[in-house]
Amino acid sequence: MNSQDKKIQDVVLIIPSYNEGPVLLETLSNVENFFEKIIVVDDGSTKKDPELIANNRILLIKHPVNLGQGAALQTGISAALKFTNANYFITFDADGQHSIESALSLVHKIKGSSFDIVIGSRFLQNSTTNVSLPRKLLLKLAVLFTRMESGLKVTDAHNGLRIFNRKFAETIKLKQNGMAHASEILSYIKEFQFNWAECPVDITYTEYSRRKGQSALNAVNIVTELFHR
Amino acid sequence: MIIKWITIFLLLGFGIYLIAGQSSRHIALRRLGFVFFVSLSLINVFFESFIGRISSSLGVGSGTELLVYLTSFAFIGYVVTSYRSRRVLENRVTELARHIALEDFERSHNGNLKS
Repeated sequence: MNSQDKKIQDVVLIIPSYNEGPVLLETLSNVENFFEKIIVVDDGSTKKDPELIANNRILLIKHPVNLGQGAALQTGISAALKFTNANYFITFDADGQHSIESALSLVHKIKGSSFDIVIGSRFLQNSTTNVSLPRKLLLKLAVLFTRMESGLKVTDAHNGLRIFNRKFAETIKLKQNGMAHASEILSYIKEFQFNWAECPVDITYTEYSRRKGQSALNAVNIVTELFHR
Repeated sequence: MIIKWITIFLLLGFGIYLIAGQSSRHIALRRLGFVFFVSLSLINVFFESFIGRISSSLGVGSGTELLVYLTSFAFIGYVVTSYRSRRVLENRVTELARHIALEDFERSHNGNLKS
C-alpha cells in the first residue's frame, strides 16, 4: 500500500509520546498517509518540542503531568472510543521503532478474523528484528514469567505494537501507569477469554531508541508492580 | 522454644490482619498498635525488668529483643501500607489528569469530533 491508495478506514493509531521531539514528527510523517485517524497522547512533555500541528486526522491529547506510558495508552484508548467510530485500534511507539509495514500486517491479520487482539512479536519466524543477546535473554525471561503468570503462550511479553478491536478496548481499563501495562493487557486477555494471536513484526533499534529504552533493572519494577495490581 | 514460635505466629497473623485491611477499623487498630508500641518502648526504658518478665513468658530473650521484633514488623508494615496508599493516590491523580486532558481536548474542538 502506498500513499496514493485510500487510507485505512476503521483503524485508529494510538501513539503515546514523552519528549520525543523531532522523532515524533518523523514517525507521524511515516504513518499519516496510511491511517485515517491518529491519536497522539503527549504525556506531560517538558522539553520544548517542534510544534505538532494537530489537524482533523491527528488528534493531540495532552496530559497535564507526566504519568507513564501505560497511562498515556489508556488515555489514547479512552479518546479513541469517545471521539471516533473506529472498530480497531493500534498502539504504536513514537520513537520510530515500529514500522508501518508491521502495523499493516497486524491490520491484515485482525480484519475479517475472529481475533479480538493481535500482538506483535519479535521472536516469531519471519521477524527480522535483530535483538542483542543480553536483551534477548532478558526478554526470554520475561516471556517465561509471563507464561507462568498469565498462562498465555506468548513469544514476546513486552511488545508495544498490537491491534485490538472495539470490544477489547471497551473492556480494558489499564491501571499500570508504567511499563507493566503490557503484562496487564495479557491478564485482561486471560480474564475475559479474549481470542488472541501473535504476528511477526520488525523492530528497528536506533541509537536514539536504545538510549531512551528501558534499562534491564526496570524489570524489577515491572514485576513488583504486577504483584500490587 | 514452642512459645517463641507461637508468639511469632501470633504477631505475624495480627500484623497481616492490620496491614491487609483498609477500613477505618483497620486504620484505628494500626493507630492503637502504634500507641501500644510507643508505650512499650517507654516502659522498657523505666521498668526494664517488668518488660523482661513479659518477654521471657513469651519465649523471647529480653525486653529489648521483643522491641526489636516489634520494630521490624512495624517497619515492614509501614512500607507495605505506604506503598498501597501511594498507589491509591497515583490512581486518583491519573484519573483526574485523564479527565482534564479529555475535557480540554473536547472543549477545544467544540464537540465536532466523531467521524
